[in-house]
Amino acid sequence: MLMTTETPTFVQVTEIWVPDGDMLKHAGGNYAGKDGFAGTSATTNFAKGEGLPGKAWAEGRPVVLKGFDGSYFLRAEAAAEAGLTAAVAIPVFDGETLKAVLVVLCSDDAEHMGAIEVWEDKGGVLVLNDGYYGAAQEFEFVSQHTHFSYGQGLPGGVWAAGVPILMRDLGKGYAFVRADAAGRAGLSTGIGIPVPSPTDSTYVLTLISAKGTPIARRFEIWDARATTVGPAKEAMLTDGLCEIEGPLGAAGNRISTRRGRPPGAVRWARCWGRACPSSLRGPACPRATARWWRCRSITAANWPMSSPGIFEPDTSGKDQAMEKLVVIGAGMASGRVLEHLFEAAPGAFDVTLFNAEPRGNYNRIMLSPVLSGEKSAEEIVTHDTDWYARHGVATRFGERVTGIDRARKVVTGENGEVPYDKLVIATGAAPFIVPLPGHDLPGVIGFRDMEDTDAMIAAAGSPGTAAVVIGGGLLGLEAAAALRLRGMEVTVLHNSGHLMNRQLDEAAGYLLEKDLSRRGIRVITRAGTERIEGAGKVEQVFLGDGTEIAASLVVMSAGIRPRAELGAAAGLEMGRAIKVDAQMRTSDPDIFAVGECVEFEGNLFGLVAPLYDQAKVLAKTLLGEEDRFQMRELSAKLKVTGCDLFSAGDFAEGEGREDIVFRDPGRGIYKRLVIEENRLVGAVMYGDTADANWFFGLIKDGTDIEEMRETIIFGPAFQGGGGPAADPLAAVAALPPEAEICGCNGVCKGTIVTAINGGAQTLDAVKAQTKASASCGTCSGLVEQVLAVTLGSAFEAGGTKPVCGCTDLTHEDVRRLIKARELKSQPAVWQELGWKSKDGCHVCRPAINYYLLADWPLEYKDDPQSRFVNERNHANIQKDGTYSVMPRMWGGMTTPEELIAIAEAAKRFNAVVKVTGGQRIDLLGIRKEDLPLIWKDLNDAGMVSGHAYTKGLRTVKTCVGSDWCRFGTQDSTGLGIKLEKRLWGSWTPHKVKLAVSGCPRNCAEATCKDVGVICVDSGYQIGVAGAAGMDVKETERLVDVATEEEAIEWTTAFVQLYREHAKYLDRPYKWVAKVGLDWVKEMLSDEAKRKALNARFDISQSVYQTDPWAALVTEEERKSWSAPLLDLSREAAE
Amino acid sequence: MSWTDIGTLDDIPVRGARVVKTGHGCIAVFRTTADEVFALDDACPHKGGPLSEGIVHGDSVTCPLHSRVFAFATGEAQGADTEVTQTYPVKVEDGRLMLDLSKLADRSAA
Repeated sequence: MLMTTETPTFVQVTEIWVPDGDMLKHAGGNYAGKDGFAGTSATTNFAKGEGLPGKAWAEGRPVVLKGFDGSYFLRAEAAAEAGLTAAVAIPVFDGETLKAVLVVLCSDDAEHMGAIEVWEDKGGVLVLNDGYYGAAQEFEFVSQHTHFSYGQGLPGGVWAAGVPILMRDLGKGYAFVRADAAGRAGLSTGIGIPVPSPTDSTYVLTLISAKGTPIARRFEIWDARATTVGPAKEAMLTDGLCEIEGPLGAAGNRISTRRGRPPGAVRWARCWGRACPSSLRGPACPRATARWWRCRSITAANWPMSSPGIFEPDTSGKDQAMEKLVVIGAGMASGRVLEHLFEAAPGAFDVTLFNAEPRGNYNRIMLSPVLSGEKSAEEIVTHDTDWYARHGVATRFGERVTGIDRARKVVTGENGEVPYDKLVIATGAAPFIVPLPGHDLPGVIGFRDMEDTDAMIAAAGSPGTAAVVIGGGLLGLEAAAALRLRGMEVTVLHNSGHLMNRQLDEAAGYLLEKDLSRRGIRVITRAGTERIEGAGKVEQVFLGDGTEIAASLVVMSAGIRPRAELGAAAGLEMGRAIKVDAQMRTSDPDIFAVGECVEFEGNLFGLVAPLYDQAKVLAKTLLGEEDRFQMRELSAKLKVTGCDLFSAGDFAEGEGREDIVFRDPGRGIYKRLVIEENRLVGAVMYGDTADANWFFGLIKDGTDIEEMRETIIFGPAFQGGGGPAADPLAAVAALPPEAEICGCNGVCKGTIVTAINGGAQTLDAVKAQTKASASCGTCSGLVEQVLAVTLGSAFEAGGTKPVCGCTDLTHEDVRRLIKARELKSQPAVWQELGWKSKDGCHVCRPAINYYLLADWPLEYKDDPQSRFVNERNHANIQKDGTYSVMPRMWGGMTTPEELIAIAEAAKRFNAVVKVTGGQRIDLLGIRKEDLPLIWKDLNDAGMVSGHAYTKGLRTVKTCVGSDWCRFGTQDSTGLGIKLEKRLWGSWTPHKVKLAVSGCPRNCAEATCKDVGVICVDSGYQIGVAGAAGMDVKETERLVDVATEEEAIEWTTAFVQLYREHAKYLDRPYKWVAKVGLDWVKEMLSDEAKRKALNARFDISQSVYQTDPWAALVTEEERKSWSAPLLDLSREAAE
Repeated sequence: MSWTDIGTLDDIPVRGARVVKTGHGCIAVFRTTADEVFALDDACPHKGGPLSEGIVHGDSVTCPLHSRVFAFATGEAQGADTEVTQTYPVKVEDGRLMLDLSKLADRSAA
């Protein structure tokens, strides 16, 4: 059935101009009913340099013209009448000779979404020369600020491939760099065409179209290169799109490859490549650098019948002197080598290709989408059987190579020998299988090839199955996401502290983990995987801490190891892989290596970009041309839909390096730029990677960014004039009244300003009147800035003191937000609460570490590096750098045996001995390296750490009580010991000291302790919030109870309430003064709450009530705990 | 430059330090969040506090005795303090930590 309604196309008119002498003559066109313009055109001729076609001729490059009025466009009047407003002229050159100029004209209105772009090589990257975008303004902006390196994106891909490329589903894919912006503009399809130019520049033309307004109704790519068509001399339709006729091929718009003459058209071809001497251009050239292709773009029917030039393809066939090239490994690197070879010099080599896998080259990078089901295995095949046949490659697939005989120049495969003149080793890499117990069970799979992928898909087939992925790097996470998409329960085990630790910093790793968790992927960092178990197949994975994870599939993605055994066995020079020089030559001049199995200047390779560079160099080397492989900057992107992350360059800290950090907690955005000597050297971004390529460009180009330094983090949009300055107040002042300040309560700036002008002149007043910052509180800094801007100097940021310079939030805010938002790691706090520094400082880190371990005892892991030296070394540092050691004496009771042990230890380690106010004995002057030794001695005598160094429970001082004292009313010593045994080991906001006195005479001085119990005849009086330090304060009575059990329960509940609510470094008396004793009483007198507090304390104690002294078990551990990294003192003395 | 192999990066905890003992005092070798390494004299110029025991944050360390903050890059105390501690070149090469002690030799010769 014929379609009667016409799809509106972005391109309205197409026309061909052909040179005749020194003039361009009209040679036809499709004017889609614009007869007036057609008439004018038919009678117009252009000289070189005249009008748009003449300009394209003269300048030897595609020319974009976005407005005709007053321009050099000759037919402006007729174009205006036809509603045409923009045009692009594309010259078709054969060497230096112009064959034709193609002009396409568009009409400019808001409905026509699409783009025609001209990209030009500027020093190794493609930048936008000019472009016409119609209404796609945002896409235009993004494009203007995007650079493409060789092979990157659509333009870079066309540049690298040298042939037209058709790219579909732009808005969804990741091959298309500008996918985000394209998606928003509805742009769906891209066509890239290399435009040969007689100038020294390289040009690529790209046509981007939207579903609603395709660039054209039909588009086909025909391959007529000699290397492709061979002796058949028939061009092949390789790809195409059709908007009016429906599917061309079997499925969708995809045209399956088929041989055949282009319908109703004559082949034409041009010579391509500067290396080719002009007199021999075309197939006669021995290098045969001609690239034959024909692109029936725009509208099929109106392509001129008079071909701009015809060459017959080279059919000379293989000649006798062909060199024998043997390639071991049919992966992406060697595949690219062959492509380059066959393009540059078809027939130069007689190629034999070995591959251990029973197939040819496929796009290994795309195994993740195959695993997830987003692509089929067929779709990722790069070279099919036809391709190998066309190029005369003898394929030995599924056959392993067992050896190389360099003397005889022979490669031995499982099925026999093959002689070589030149040999390429491209054996790639193998997944590293962590040698855990059980790693050889069926169900443990590396993620490397099609077989692995099939095995995983099969494993995911049964419902309710679970997978464990070991290794949270790029590949592991893609596998995890794909398996999750297939419905498996997935756990990722990662040994490092955060995911993708090679590419991301902690903050970005945290956001990634959060995103993955949201997708139902469980992530365990610092996993310490111990073993895999199962009866005959994988059933469980065990971690070092005893965690057991059920799994029927274990995917190992803990990195790759080069497969270089062949090279080693052949006696080639080896490093960690086969060593090559910048020409990809091994130590044997006739043997080359490429890809993941090589080592170049100490570097190994795993990402595809440098492998393609290597392939290009190797092809040239094989052809006797000069080229050098060079290391270059790499960037990484994760192919998990919806996880927007990007990292590039070097983002390590270093001398003279500075960071610019931007966090938007609300939107989950994190960006960090690393700057050195006014150059951007690294970038990590998460959540918003729209500017990634702009930043990557700055890194690669080494652009001086001094001028834009203040606003660089905001991206290209803020460069070049008038962006908000770095001054946050100016930025706030510039906000419009409708800008939202408080996201929780939807309060905009105008409302706040009105409230301020109405008299709300403090943060609290604004909060009370408008609710701004009344919920989560993260915007309180912003509200204060609005106050400052509105009131000027009349406003004093008041009352609330932030934790430190890293944040504007107070301790109270941070504690509340850690609980409310369930923040369970330090990077989570830094990111979600908008920390201004990268990893905190010495003020906030210990506080946050405490808050996290107090609120999430089971989930959070204590970080020794966020602790003050004493808590890290379990001893008190003294002014001379030695330490004091104090064993615990429960309730101040000791024994002769303990005293003997203490005395002996004191003698052995030359300690000064002091009796303390807390009823214990302090051993002073112990050197750090002796600490584990003295601990061992004291442990052996049955003593444990006295925690005299902690923000935690210190001592429980007692008197002798009713056992001995004639006034004693209760067993104060016994209660003291019970309290100490219950509370020891717990971490608290500041130190906590207790005392129990047996009668009101109070010999244990219980009335100035954090918690002091006075025994009376009727029971126990519990006082809290005393002090005898910088401040002296008597305790206040919390409660009187009758039994010891109640006294312990109340005391524990009080300590836990303090642990959960106090600001770090507030002793209980300060905290109680802030919250009020009445509130504390109210909380604790509710029995259910009291019991719940006790239960939570128990949970914390299950983790933290351990003796740190006893943590060092073996002699080796004791020795290494304090050992210097290296002792050069003796050496230096000599 | 004379580089001495002093161990591997993994020998030092992230945001931590280890000490290299020499005949002329100890050198603290630090590792930052981003796995960069730096080396300073392990003695605070203020009162000799062991900087290796301080809290490492960003590109700096806080002395455990009196909380002076020293920048790794320059060895200078931050803020109002004016002390400067000696820095030593240190780098990671193939996973090995290489420390240049030539400044130490200069000092002992002087």
